[in-house]
Amino acid sequence: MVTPNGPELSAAGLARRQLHFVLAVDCSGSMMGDKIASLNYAVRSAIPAMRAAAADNPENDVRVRVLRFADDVQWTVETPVPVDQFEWSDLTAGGETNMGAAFTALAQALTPEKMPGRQLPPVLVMLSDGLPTDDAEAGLAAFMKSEFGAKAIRIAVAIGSDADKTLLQSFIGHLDMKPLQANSAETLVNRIKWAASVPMKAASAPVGASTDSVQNLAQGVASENENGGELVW
Amino acid sequence: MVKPTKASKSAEASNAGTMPVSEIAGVLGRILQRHGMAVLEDRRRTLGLLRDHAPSETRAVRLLMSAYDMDVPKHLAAEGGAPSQFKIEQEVNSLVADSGLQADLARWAVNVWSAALSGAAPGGAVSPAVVTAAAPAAAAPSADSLTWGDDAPAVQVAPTAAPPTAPMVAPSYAPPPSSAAPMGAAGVAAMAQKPMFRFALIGAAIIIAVVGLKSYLGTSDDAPNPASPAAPSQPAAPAQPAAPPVIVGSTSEDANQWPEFTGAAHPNNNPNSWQFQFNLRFADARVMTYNVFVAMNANGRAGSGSVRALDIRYLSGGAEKVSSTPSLPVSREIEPSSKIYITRINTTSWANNPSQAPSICLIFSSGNSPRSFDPDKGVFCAFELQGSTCGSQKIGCGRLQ
Repeated sequence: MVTPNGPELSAAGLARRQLHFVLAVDCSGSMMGDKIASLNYAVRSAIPAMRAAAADNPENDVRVRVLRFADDVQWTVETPVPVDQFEWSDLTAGGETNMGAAFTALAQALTPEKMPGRQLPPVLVMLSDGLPTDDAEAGLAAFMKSEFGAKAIRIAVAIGSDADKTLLQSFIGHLDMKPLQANSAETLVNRIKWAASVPMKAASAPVGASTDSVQNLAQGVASENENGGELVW
Repeated sequence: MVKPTKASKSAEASNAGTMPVSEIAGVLGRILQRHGMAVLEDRRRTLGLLRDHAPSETRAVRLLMSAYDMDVPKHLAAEGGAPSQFKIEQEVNSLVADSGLQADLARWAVNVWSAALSGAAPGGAVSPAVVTAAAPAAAAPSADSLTWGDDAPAVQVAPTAAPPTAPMVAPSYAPPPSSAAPMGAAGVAAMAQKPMFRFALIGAAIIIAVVGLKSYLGTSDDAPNPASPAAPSQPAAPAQPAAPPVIVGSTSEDANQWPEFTGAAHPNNNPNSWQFQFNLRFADARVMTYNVFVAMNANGRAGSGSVRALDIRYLSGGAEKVSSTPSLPVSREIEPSSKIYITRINTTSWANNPSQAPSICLIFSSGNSPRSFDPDKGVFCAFELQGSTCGSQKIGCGRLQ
């Protein structure tokens, strides 16, 4: 089998494919209070679902990373952690929304050099309520040019009714797939649980079935969004 | 509903708090200082920064963005420094007319932008003085207590006692929350406190001012309307107990007979603004106390102001009886030989008039500098107002201390 990293593959790498699951979390000032608290709760409560999804595909090695961005960008879980060892540390909010810098950091991290071995398309989940305060378009362009950026399954959760869905839609890059809207704490929990498990299954789909997987994912997103939710934020 | 908060609370806790107007002006000023004025070219970025720096102030941010969408910050910035009061009033009026915002909301937004831009201007800093310029907004309802499209009066003024330092010569009520006064030379007021300066001009100034006033009236375009009655038309007075004895403006031609009204001040410690009050007795025997606020713009020739009036029979617990005008234009002339400045404001309209206050044409003099106001040199005369022009019938004159 020929892979992009063929000559460097180890026997262990041939045995299981890695699936990187990356959470990019907006921790700017606008997330203060209820939103960041709900997010912390939601991710924590989504971990069992993530592990269950991973367990359904034992042939894949699911690794989790977490990126927070506000005034600066920081990997709070820098080294990819096996999902069964992943633990959530609560994030705090404050500062501006340097989403462009976050895209750039993702582009720099999602490279063959930093993700050696057999890789499934990574799953990126962007959680944001805000409007970028830096040059997000430039960062997004750099991200989409990166090796795994364009190939990744990209999910966005728009927290609050006035999040910049246009940019999040550009991040998703798939017309049939809209940002998941979360306008209340309860809805946010559901969205994050969904985003933490369903896309993982789609990414684990066999090669050749990827088109169907994306379509199914898009339908899943649409179905998820139909649930609506109380307009609180 | 947002609740009050203290700055000492944690950032997370402040999510539930209300940020004072001066504070949000400071926040906006710091954003502009950090990112530069260029950030205002990008609406998304401006909104994002406001939301990140004032996450709990949803309504305030929306108000500020309403003003932003009407190019208020652009217009204010074009002034090249602290916007004049005239410019502020202009922007308020435009915002009300173009966006449908209630006047107090519009004023709040314009004042915050004005204070923030003043602090962020080159060489400027968001100083307490600049933030204080937004005090009218602070004195007025906070953004969170305001409503969209509410027809309630913008401000309620409660009657209060006269300042303790002032002799009891006139009924007094609390000054209205003034509009943002233009920032000006802060040291000018000190000049007026110099004894030599004061005594040299006290006697002459009153006489000259009177001459100036009379001369001014004699050459004014506002000639009396021959068809008008000799005395100003007054609304019928409600049957009420006799008003207590108070000092009222005099109709004497002798300025030495004019009574003195104390309590004149520069609102916000701004030498280019005036606030004073006096009493007038009308033909129907009613006595009204008038409170006048005037702020001149940078050129000193024009400005804006407002007048509040109260029938003194309602001084006790009569806050709801306070009549108030909307923002009114103010003009100023200089009497060349004496350099006495003669300022005029006509109460051509009332925003609300529960006291049925008669409209007046008010002319008052101020010192020998466009920015100084030495109370010793202040004199005023109120005349009947015929339509929008000043009539010849004098209602009363006095000295301002």
